[in-house]
Amino acid sequence: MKKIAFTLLATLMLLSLLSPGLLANTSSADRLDLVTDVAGVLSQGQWEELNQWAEDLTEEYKIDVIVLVVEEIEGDDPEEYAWGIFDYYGMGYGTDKSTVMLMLATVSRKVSIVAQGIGNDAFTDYGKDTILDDFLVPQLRNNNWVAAVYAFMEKAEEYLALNAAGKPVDIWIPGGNEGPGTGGTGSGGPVQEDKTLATIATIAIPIAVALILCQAWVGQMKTAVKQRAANLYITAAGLQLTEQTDTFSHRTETRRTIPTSSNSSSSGRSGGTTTSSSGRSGSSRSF
Amino acid sequence: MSEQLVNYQCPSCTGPLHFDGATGKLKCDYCGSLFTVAEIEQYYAQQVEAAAEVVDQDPDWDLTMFGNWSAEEAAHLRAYNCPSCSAQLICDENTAATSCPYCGNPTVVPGQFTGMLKPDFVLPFKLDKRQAIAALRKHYEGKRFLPNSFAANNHIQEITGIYVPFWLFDASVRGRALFDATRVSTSRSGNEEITSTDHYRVTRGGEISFENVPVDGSSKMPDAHMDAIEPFDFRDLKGFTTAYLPGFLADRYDVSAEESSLRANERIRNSTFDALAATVNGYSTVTRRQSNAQISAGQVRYVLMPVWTLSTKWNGKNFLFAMNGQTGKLIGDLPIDYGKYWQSFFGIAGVLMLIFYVLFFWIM
Repeated sequence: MKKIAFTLLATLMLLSLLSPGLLANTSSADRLDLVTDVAGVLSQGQWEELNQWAEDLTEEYKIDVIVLVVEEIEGDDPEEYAWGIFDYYGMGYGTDKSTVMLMLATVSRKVSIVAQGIGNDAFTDYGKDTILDDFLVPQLRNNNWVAAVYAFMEKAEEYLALNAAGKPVDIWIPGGNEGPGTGGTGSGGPVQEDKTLATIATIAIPIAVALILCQAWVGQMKTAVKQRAANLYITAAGLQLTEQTDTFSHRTETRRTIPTSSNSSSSGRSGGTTTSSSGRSGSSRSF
Repeated sequence: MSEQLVNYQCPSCTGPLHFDGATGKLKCDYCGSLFTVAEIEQYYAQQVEAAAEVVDQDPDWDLTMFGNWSAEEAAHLRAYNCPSCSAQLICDENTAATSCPYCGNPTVVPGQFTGMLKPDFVLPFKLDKRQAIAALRKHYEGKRFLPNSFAANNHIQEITGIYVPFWLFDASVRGRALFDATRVSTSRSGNEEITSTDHYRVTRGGEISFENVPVDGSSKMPDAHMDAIEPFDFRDLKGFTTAYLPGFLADRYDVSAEESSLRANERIRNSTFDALAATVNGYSTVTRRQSNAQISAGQVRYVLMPVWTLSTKWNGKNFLFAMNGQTGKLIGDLPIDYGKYWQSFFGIAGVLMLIFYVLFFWIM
């Protein structure tokens, strides 16, 4: 961890000599700006706008909203790298060090969203995956770095607002998480899709049950029915088998990939946020 | 020189097979199954062999054993004709038909009794008219969609004890059936779930006998009504005499034994195939592909069965109920109050929707 942090610090210092704009961005030795663009993908104006936006969110929701753009990361684990920077620079809001952090490596082509404290409430596993898969990775695959950063900020603002309203964005599972008004079930675009299933079930199952019951009662009204067989008239000796062969013909196989936690769709997974023993969560993608 | 084209079908899904040069096997275009040429040739040889045997054989029923009425018996019988539905009814000289038991027409016309085949047996009535009315009242009970006015204002127009002509068929059957069966198992390899389906060709052959398969010989009496009041206890069959007729009408058969045997054959065949299928156990799916039954004719008997018919009119429509005069089993279709139907439907659906809504959107 320390090795990563020191390497990054050295990189930042080297780059700061080359980039006056970046120098301003990394002016604090103790603490990075909320938006730090080591890779130099943002213009000065964009950086100022984004950093102000992050500070406004931080102040309003009591959580550090951090964006870090670098070219390369040490090692293969972008989450570990992000936490290394976070710890080294003493980031995080309040005693629980609340944060949500976008770490984007443009050359290593890795992206990660990590969270802690309030960030774990607002950015559930489902929420982080949705931002990454639906909003960031499609942009990053086309090297649209700036669009990806703006998309993250928009979603961060939306998710924090919903969390503050007691409805964090999360997968909706009957019996798996709490309902509206109790703070557990999310809302917004991704959740609407999941609620559709519940709505369909709420309409379709009662109709099906009512139809089955009513048809069963209609069946009681019709008792004059033709017999198709004559089972009642089989003699006591019954069937005497004279031939009985069971011949194996062939085998067919179908294979289905079992969804894992990283690639599963909304079905078959639980809601909430999976955290490490230190109370941290994260989700990463290569693009 | 003529050329015969052979199109093989997949034994698994019946899709077309083509020769796959890469594997040297016949491959199904649809399910991807592979078969060696030898496997397919063997399979088709079995199919051809089976097909050669698959010929249903109807029996030649012996219909020459029936007796005729004696002059003395005929002298004591009366005949009535219904001008509405053409029913021909007979009774003893002391019983009069006042209306048609089938269509309710009150103007049945006395006619000349002419001898037809004399029944071999009769199953005497055990239950009376009072019990038939009680059975009908019970039949109305618990019927949620029965119109209130039907039960409340229902006046049974006609209750008639009638001996309905039946043919009873005995037969022995040699049956054979080919089934396609599958056993499905699931295993896991790495992050893949593998569903394996083992396909089997199953053959069952056997012999089975039937006794007293009844088919009613009256075209006026609906087959569904007569089938539905089965079974009768044939241990009570008595040799026919006109002594069982007083107080009851008797219908003359107007569907011959030969015509009725078609229904008997159909029921016998279905039961034979059902019995063979019931011996194919231990599979996930069983589909009957081919079957044949060779029915060896046994005896055919002409019998009169005791049936109480109760007819009523409601909203201009006739409703016919039939009760087994021996066992008391009563059947008959009832009218449906669609107002009650939709009331129940929306009531149940509405309550369940409310419960589901609370469950899904508030509790969970």
